[in-house]
Amino acid sequence: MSEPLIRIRQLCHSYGNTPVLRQLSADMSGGEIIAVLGANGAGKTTLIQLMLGLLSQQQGEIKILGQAPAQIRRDPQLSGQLGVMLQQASLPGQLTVLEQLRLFSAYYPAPLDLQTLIERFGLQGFLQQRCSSLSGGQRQSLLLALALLGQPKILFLDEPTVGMDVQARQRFWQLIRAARAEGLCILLTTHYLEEADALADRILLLKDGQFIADTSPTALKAGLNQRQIRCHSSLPLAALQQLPGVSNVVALAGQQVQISSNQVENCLRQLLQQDPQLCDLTVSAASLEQAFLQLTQTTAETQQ
Amino acid sequence: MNSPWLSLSQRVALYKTEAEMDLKTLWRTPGFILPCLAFPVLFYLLFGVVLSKGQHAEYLLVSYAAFGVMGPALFNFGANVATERAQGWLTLKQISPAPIGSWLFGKTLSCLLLALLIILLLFVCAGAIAGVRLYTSQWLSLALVLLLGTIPFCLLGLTLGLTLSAKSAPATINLIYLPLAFLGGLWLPLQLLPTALQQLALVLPSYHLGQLGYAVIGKDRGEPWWVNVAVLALYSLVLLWLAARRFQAQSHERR
Repeated sequence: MSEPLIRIRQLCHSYGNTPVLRQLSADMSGGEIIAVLGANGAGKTTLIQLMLGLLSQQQGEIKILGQAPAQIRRDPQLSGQLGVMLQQASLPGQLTVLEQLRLFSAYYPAPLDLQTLIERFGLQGFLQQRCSSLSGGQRQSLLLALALLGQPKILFLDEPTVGMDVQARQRFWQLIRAARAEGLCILLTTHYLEEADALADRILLLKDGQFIADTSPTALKAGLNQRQIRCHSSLPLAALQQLPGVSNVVALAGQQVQISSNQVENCLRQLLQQDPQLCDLTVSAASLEQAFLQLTQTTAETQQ
Repeated sequence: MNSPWLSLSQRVALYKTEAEMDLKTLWRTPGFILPCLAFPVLFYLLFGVVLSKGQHAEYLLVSYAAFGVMGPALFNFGANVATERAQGWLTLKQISPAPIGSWLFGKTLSCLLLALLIILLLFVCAGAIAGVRLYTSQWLSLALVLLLGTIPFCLLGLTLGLTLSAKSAPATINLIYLPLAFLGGLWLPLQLLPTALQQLALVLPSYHLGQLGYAVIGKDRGEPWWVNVAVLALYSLVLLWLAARRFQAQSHERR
């Protein structure tokens, strides 16, 4: 197909003597939502800042629409094709939502029609409100509207739904999916794994400065052989630990326990035999969260 | 070469919008505007009219007007830029396609308008209450000198705003503003200060702004006017260079 919109090759970065990113390579193209996941300190923010030219590059290559990130601040033709939502950016509080929209649309030669944008983002209800009085969800919707106003090709979303309630987040996801449908390349960092699971076509899992996975959420979960058993059991925890394939047992409220096993059928057979009073049984497949934990932990162990 | 990002008319519209928004922001912050307007006026009425029984009303008009116009320059650029920086707003602007000039234009314009308002208020107090009589040409040149004289202070404010944290900016700027005014001879005539301080004044921009103003009413200390202008211009150039460097460095300090 055509050239990737973002191209990263052998990217390395360190703060002093501490390496943060090691030999990262990836291509990203239009019409996909890519989630960069990783524990705190894994290098997500550094990666985004390098891509936006907010940090000076040390080693390796990044091309944003074929150009070096340092050009973003110099060339409006390049920055005009990017939409950015920065982590916890707040808006100057004294302007109203409408004024803020008007100011930002003056930055672009062909901005989206404000009326359309306002309806699409559900901003009608609080156009005359000062930005300082917006709720978390309203503020993030406005910031997303500002990011999309110039009809960008690439959208950077750094922790976009922090502080949003469940409904606001669901609506926000709809807007992001709509942007994907228009062919944007969307790069998302998030702490919410359910968000990555719900939105992303691709997950780049960052661990110790390297991509340890670059695959779809489904494939990531399928690669995980663990499943979980939850039940009421009178057996002592030590006995549960001895069951086949058990890696972890957690005591929940009441007599509930949660058992993680990679031989869930064998484990169940023995469990039912040993505990005839067992009840409230559920078995669930791995969540992205478990995949995340397992992947980030196992590599940590093999490295030691 | 590529065609320009915005057409000329779009560019004009952008500069207008930026100015409108910065003015609205200022206007909706009475906690900023009111002290900026009230302090020079109250000081003038107290020291220039009541306590000195109007004897030095002319001289002190220049003093407090110069003191007054420094305020919005230092604070609108200093404290407000520091806040915009802390909010991540400045970073968002830096990576947006907006030319940085439009942002500076908006801020400068609102500073100048606020400075003009302070000058006019003081002129009204001087003419109507303190009985100051000047030729029209003197009123006009005084206003012009003071307005142009705010530029080095705008740049000083900008450099500070790009350097200080949002929390420390207001206090630090006061720590610079008030001594600058006092040591530049804007509160007490320099003759009343010790000799060492009188010599220190010669390197302060506030002193040279004051002298340009006093020259309009014939009460300066006698340096040629171009010396004052040259010192203020030199300050402006150095501060412009510093501010540009700080601006470039902005992004690299965020982590």
